[in-house]
Amino acid sequence: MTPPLIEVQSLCVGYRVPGTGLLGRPRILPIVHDVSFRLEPGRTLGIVGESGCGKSTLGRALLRLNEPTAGQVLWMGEDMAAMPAETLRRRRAEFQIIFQDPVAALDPRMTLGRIVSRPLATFEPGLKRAELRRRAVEALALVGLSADFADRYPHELSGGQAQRVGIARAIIGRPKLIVCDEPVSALDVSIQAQVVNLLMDLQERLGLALIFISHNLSIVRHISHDVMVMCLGRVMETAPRDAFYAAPRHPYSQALMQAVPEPDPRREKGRLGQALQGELPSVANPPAGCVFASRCPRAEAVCHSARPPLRGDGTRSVACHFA
Amino acid sequence: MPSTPTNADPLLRVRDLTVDFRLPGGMMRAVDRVSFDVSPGEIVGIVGESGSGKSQILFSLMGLLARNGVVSGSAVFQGQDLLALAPAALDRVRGVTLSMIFQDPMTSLNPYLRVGDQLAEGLRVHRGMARREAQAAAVAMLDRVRIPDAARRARQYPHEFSGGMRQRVMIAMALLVRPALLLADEPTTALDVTIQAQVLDLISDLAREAGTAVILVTHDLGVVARLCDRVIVLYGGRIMEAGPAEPVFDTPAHPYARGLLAATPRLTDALTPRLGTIPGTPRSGGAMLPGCPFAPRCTVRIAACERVQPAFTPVGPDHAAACHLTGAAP
Repeated sequence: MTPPLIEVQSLCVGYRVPGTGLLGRPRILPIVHDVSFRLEPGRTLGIVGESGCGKSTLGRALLRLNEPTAGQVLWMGEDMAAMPAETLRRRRAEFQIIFQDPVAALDPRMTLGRIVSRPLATFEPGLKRAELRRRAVEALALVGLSADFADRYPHELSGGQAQRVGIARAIIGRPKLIVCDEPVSALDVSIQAQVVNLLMDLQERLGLALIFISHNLSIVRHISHDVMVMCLGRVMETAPRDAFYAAPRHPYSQALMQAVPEPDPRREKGRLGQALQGELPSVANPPAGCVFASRCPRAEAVCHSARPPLRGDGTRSVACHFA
Repeated sequence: MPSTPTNADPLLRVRDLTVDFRLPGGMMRAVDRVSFDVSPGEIVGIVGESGSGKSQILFSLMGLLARNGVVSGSAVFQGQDLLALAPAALDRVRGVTLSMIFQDPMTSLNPYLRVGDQLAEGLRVHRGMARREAQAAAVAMLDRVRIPDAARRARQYPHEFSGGMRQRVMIAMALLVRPALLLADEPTTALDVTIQAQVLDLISDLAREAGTAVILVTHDLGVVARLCDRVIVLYGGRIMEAGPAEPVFDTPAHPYARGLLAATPRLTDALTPRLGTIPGTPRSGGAMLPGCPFAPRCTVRIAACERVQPAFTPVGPDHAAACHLTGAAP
């Protein structure tokens, strides 16, 4: 049996923070706790959560842009932590990332042709200039930009075009996985749909797997095969897309669905006055029990004292004492 | 013609509001002859993408246009034309009967003043309350907008608050002053959905309890659907469509409004292989086109669209659209 494209086992990620007090030692502030999942080639995992839930930190740790504090990431069965630096460097062609702020992700002094072809200098060193340009133009064409964009500069681009350039740069090394970190949140509504459709087209044409990190539940529904909901660094629920959206099981997932305003005035007017109350716990001082308990309408005493484990049947898991 | 029928007694009557910016390359028109009314207590949403001019409408009403901005037209608010008021007279309106909240609440909070003092200041200046009385009212209002531990929080500084709490502080300020009209520029765009829901609830309470009318500028059709009685769809500085929220969402008449709705999937929609899109990119700057500003991106345009500006055509009660095809085949 071939291993999945990427398999994550009990991954924990933290950031080093200064100690408190005069003699305080630096310590690790845990951000992501005990995350596990598998992703097969050509599939999309949507990771949903609010700010501070650890979704971007997780995405970056998958690509080893952050060092995990515990757990493993297996890339096609191979432990990434055990890969020699040179192997890891060459393998980076296979897993790429695109970012939320598409303009900030592009070097303003380089032509778009150079920006897009730059990863090839690492992955396929020794390519001739003409070949680099040909490959850049080919990647630009795949994202719907004409060849003349290769000679332009980032400041000439709209946000949507800049994100297309970011995608062209990500696909030029023929990756198997792209981590998309809030790739459309900074774009206009009409452009968001264009970029989501482009990612879906590229997935079909190139057999890409996607990890689509977003706070937008409607867009995640559209693009994902599986969904993972995170809150304060923990997985609250994972499920296949259709099962999840038909009936989210975790009260936090349900609350998110209720909170999303949809373009439907009749339905939305009935949702006024239904907002969750209570404050988010702080990352630095997480609660002993369920991270959602302080805001959960169904919370009981046990929720505040004991953290519910993620339990499931292999396809669907929920971390709730009552789900 | 105005986009909405003349109200018997509107709180705000905007007519032919036009905003130009002097740029090194010439004049750039951001808002082009926009007309609308706002009734007391009504929540009106102005929805549009970047470059639509939606924020500039609010800035011009508030007298906050950048220095190279030139405004014309009229905006009669409680009998006074805001666009013609001298700065001193405008100051007497702003903060008393006309308030504004921004996407980033830190824009309007003084980082060096305790939150409670900032809230109390308005009451002391505009209502002549004593210090202690104003402080007590401020704490009560923080509690009202569900800031936990309000008395202690009132002694803290803005940087000690989360983004959602800061926006609730801004709404607490508006609730204290009870302005007749609140201008809200993308007030929940920077917030998480659960926090956004709290802030939208509070704006709704403000309109209901204090009778405050609200103009809410946003790019999010979902936010408009939840909060607004009426919606104005703006593109390239012009009103494309305006009307009560339900008919505009149910039966959008303008191709741009239809495109925006198609590009905003609902959780309950049947899944389609791809999202609906609008080709091209939003208009950014440049000269005003002689015809419809949306024509270059419109998939159903006819020859006239590029040459002739479409008139507002009624498509239902209080509902109108500026499209040559309105009234033609659906």
